[in-house]
Amino acid sequence: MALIALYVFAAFIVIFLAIFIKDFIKNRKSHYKYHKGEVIMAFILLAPSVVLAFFLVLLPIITSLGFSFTNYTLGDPNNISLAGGDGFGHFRDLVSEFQVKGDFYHAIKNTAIFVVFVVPIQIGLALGLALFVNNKRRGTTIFKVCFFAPVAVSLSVTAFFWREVLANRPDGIMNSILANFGIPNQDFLGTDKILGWMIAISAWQGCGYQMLIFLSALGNIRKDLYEAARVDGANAFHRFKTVTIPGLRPTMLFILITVFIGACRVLIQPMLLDQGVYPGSVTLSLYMYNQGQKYGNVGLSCAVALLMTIVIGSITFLQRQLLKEKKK
Amino acid sequence: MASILLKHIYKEYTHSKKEAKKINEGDLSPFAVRDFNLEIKDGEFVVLVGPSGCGKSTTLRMIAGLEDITGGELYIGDVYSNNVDASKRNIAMVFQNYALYPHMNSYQNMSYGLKLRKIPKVALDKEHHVIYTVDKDRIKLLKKQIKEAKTPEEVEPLVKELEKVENDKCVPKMKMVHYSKEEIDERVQKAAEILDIKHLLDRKPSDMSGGQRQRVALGRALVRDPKVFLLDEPLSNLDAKLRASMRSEIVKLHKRVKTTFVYVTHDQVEAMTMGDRIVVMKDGIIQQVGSPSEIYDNPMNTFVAGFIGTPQMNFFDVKLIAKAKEVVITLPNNKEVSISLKDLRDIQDEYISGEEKELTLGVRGEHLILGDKGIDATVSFVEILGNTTNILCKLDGSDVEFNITVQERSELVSGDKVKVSFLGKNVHLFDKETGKTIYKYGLEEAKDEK
Repeated sequence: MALIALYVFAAFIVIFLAIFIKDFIKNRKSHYKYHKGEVIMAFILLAPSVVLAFFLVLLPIITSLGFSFTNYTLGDPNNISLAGGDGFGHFRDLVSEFQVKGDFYHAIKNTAIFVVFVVPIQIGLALGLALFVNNKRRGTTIFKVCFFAPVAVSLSVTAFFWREVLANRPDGIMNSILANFGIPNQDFLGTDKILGWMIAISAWQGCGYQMLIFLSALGNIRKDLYEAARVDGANAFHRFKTVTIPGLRPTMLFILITVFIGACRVLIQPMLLDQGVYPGSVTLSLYMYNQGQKYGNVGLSCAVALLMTIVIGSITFLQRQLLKEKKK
Repeated sequence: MASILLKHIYKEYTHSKKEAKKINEGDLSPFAVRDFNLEIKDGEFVVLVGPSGCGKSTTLRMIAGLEDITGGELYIGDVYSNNVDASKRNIAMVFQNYALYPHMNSYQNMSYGLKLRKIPKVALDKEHHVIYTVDKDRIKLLKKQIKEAKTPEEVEPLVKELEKVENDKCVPKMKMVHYSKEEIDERVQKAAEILDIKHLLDRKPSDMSGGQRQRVALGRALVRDPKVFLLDEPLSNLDAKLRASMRSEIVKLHKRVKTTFVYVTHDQVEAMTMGDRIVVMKDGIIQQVGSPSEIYDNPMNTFVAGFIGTPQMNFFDVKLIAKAKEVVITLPNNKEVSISLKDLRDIQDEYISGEEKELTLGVRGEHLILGDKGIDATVSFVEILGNTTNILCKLDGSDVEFNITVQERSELVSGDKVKVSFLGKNVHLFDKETGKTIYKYGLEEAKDEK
């Protein structure tokens, strides 16, 4: 294993040196020349980051990629062989589990539902809040702080908080309030409802951050465009459509991609809210975590991670292609 | 087309604590625009000019409906427009930074306002026959008359007529509709032809130069066929050459469309060359309103005299004593100059009472004559501008500097001694304390304002 890592590292360094040499030659040919010492110094300064990036980013990715084709079990590093004989055993297992509607099927279904709902709700909420606080009226700072506050709180803390609020016990906060109105105990975190709460809590907690990004983008839209639109006869809706939305387009794309990726990787909320209400809340990340950490099946976990990366990468690429501004 | 009437217009912004303190201490006026009175005639080209912060843009934005009016009345046409939203005023505005929608091409930018606007059109049925309806205005009027009628004799014929009108569908039914695609296209193409931007119609603002964007911005205003054109320093982002050509383009455009133009600029050359009338402003107050030549020849105060004209008018602190048929002016170097009262313009009586008065004498550089007689001065600096030469001189015996503009090339160099004289009719005299002109036309203007 260490030998493989060493080989990969050597390959990485070779690529780095190749880029350095290419750059060096290009610089000599170009009209404006950097001093030789400047180029060498630039690469020396880059070197620590490159080594760190290799060990902390690239190596884990490559290792995980390699594990996905093996039956590596947690705590047993000496007993590694290709999964299913040809290395594709885990992928076949996942397909068959999907076909029989096992945990993997539920994980995909729940993640898809979560993404489909949380992305528009969170972005819509963030945009709505940004528009609401984007004026110089008195008291808007208080609203900004209130809307941003959940972002500053840890995910696990908010998950615990909501678990207590929604607990299926007579002393659960929500149930005790309902009891005052004579409403019987509700199982808010039941298998059919938990996904809804996950969506709501995630959107609530996440939207504050996106609100800030939208606010900054709104501040960059030129005021004279709104004025020109008013003079052109545009009402508030037309101004929103003609000035605000096009002005937010690049920000919208960035937010869409980051929220989408974040939503695909949702883990903490189902892990802490759920407490075993399976399969109502299992998501791909939780499934991956359980397989790797709980059952020690690292190979399968890595196979899921690889599939997730391919799917998320493809959809993100598609989003970029569809939403990026068309150039003439 | 429409006239604009501004009556006692005031504009006050929310003040910061620092500003509020200054206002309380009397160091700062709370108003950005104060008691602004102006009538702009239908089809007139009026230029608001003044230094930065004088309230000219604020005034324009109040006409546009982009700023609330703190006090006073604004009429566009005959309509009281203080509370009419900008989108309903049917005015067009050209902004300093063009304000073209960046994601739209020129055609879309120009047609956007037309797409939003609705116009009344005669309603037709499926067989393209005109639909008639009752005369609602007549019914309204009759009902009002019935209400106001005092005797039954008066009411009876009115009621009969009302019954008849209520059953008589004689007026074509009107409905509000959007412009058709063909109409929009026709208008955009026509405006593009006038402004010579047909080849730019499919380009986005980012693909155009400043001058081209400015033309598109003008086109956007033009297609709408608005009642009033408002232009807020539209040429300030262009280079000097382009500015000069766009200046004449705008004047030509005004002559062609014959609509009311209100143009804001801080450039007095633009004001002088473009406007039918110029409104000179300072600190939110109108200093003078008049034609370019009136403003240039008969400035009401030292501010107007100094602001209009390049190079700036020369000012000297002088003392004036009126004698029987002449006035004696004592210059800053204590030299006396006598001018016959006949040669001067009519001076207000209080200034020719025989008492010595402290005044500011203003004379433009082009009205100073270099010759063999006159006041002694020394050349400090010579600027050759091609067609003219500016000679900066220092009055001998004082630190006062002044500028002489001559039409021909001058051989003078720094340090040369010269003699300078001027004609009485070209001299401007202002009260030193108030800065107001002491000529009688100042009194007449003041009367007109009241």
